[in-house]
Amino acid sequence: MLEVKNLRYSYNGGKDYAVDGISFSVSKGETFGFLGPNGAGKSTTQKILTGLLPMQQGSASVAGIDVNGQKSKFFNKIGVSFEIANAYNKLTGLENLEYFAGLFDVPTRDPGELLKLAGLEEAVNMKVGEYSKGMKQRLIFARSLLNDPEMLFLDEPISGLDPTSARNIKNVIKGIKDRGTTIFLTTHDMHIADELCDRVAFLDEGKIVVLDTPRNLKLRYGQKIINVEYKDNGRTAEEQISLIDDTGWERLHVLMKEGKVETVHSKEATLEHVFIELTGRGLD
Amino acid sequence: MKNLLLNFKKDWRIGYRTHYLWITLATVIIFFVFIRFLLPEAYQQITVYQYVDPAFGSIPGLEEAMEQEMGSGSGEELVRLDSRDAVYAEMENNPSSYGLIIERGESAAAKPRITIVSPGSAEGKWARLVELQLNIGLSMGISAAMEEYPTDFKTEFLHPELRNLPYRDTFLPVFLVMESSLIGMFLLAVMLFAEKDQRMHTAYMISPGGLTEHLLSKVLVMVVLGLISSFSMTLLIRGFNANYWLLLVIITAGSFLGSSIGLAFGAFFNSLQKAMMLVFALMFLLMLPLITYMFPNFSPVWVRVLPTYTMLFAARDAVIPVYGSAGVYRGALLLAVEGIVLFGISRFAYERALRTKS
Repeated sequence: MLEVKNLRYSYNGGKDYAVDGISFSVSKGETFGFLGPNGAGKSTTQKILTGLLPMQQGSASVAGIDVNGQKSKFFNKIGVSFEIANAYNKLTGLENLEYFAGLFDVPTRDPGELLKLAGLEEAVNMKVGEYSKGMKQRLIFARSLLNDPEMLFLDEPISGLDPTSARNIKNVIKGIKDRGTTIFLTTHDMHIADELCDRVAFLDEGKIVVLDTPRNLKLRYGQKIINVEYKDNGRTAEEQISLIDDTGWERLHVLMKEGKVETVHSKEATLEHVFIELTGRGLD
Repeated sequence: MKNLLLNFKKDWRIGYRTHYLWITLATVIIFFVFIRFLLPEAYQQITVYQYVDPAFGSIPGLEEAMEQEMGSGSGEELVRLDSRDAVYAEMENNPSSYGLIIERGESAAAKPRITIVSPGSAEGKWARLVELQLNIGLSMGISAAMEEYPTDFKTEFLHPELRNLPYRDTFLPVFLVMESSLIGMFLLAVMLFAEKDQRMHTAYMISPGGLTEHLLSKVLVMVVLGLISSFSMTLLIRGFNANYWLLLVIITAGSFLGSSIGLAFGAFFNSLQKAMMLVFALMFLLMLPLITYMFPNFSPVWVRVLPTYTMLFAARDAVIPVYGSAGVYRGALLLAVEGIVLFGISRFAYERALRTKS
């Protein structure tokens, strides 16, 4: 669905590159996470792939269509949700969606239904200027679904949302994924990437550091450690046990046999741990 | 066309909610009040204090001639006084006045002695013209009545229809240019900067909608607003004494060009704040032809090539339809060509800016 080869982009005439020779592909129906800290080149990559920035070096295609010099056929196939919510403040939520729906040459989804999906049914006729930041974010997410896109680009889709709204949006994304839509998710939030993505690529200083499934990455770079709380002479004691060799398993077995164990928590690596392991710095 | 209409509907709605229509109509009202109630009907209200020596008796034809020259609607006022001294006394209190004294000559058979008293505060050519007009009008009246004055005075006018044109109506083209072109230019720039501020261009660029329709719809909104204000103002001032077809042609072309200039600001600058200096400098430059219009002696070539000069005189030809239509069509064509070229350049620059600064 998405093919990227040797993509390079420079904002200063080639002195240094915001995106530096990246290549990857995304299969149809796959949710692909593009992770990295601010300034890693994520948004630049997405802008190139959606035609907002010109292709300087390399090539990319979406659904077999070259992203360079796109026409309406290309834009009828993609949906984009921006990190910075952009909507006409003087129009209502419904008017915004109706306007953009009218620009497509393909059948579009009912704007009212999409607003409901994004949890904005109460604000359908409210001017967007009166929306909160989170409401605007949900509105542009709903807008990205208007043409029922084959390829959906999401840039920080739950940024600035309250936990309930974030959960709702994540559920909507899962629903879209289940319908076979290919999703390119740009984020620095490892939790949403871990929860939603089939594969993730870590981007650092314009280069892809690693690309794999979240599970494989965690297994490859994490440690098999569990955190055990147990009773010891009337006090609650805590112990981290490594399960990579027999010693750890034997210690866990003893505690379990004595019936002292109160809680057991796995301590598998998070994607953030993996990123730090690979790049030496955090995602924020 | 579908996208153009869709964009026009959206831009009109946004413009309406940003009070553009009300701004336009408020401007019409302000200018209407200014033209109708504050501007004098004539260029200057001239008062003539007249004294005719009663011993001289009545001069047949004089009263009629004075009434014709200075009667109602001419912007001049005739005040009859009963002494020579009264004429001078009244004139002392009114610098915009002239005196007319008709007395018997030294001998019984002498011709009447006519004295025109000028205020002395010379207003140049205009004062001399008034003196001349009085002199001619008076001489005509007397010569018609008295056989010993066989002189045949005659006054001709290039456009006799304009004799009764109130001065304030000649100010209407100034409003038409300012409202439909210059204010349109400013409002469009504001609209475009507001869109940039809301980052709407990025949302539009990833849709199948074309950039030309996106920009053209804003220009059309300004053209429609320009037509609304121009037609309502002309109707209020001139009634049906204007050529509305010619008005439609010139306002459409002029407003299109003005909006395209606004578009250029949106293309080359990121915010109104950054463009402000140039916007005001250009507005000042484009308003210079208004001076030429009011004071024709000031008409250097570099002012006459400005688009507002073309529009101003073409608008005059439309609302005071005595000059013919050729100037309007020629002017409209010139403005339309300039507008199309500028629109093309602005569109190119706008797309280039979006693609590199998104």
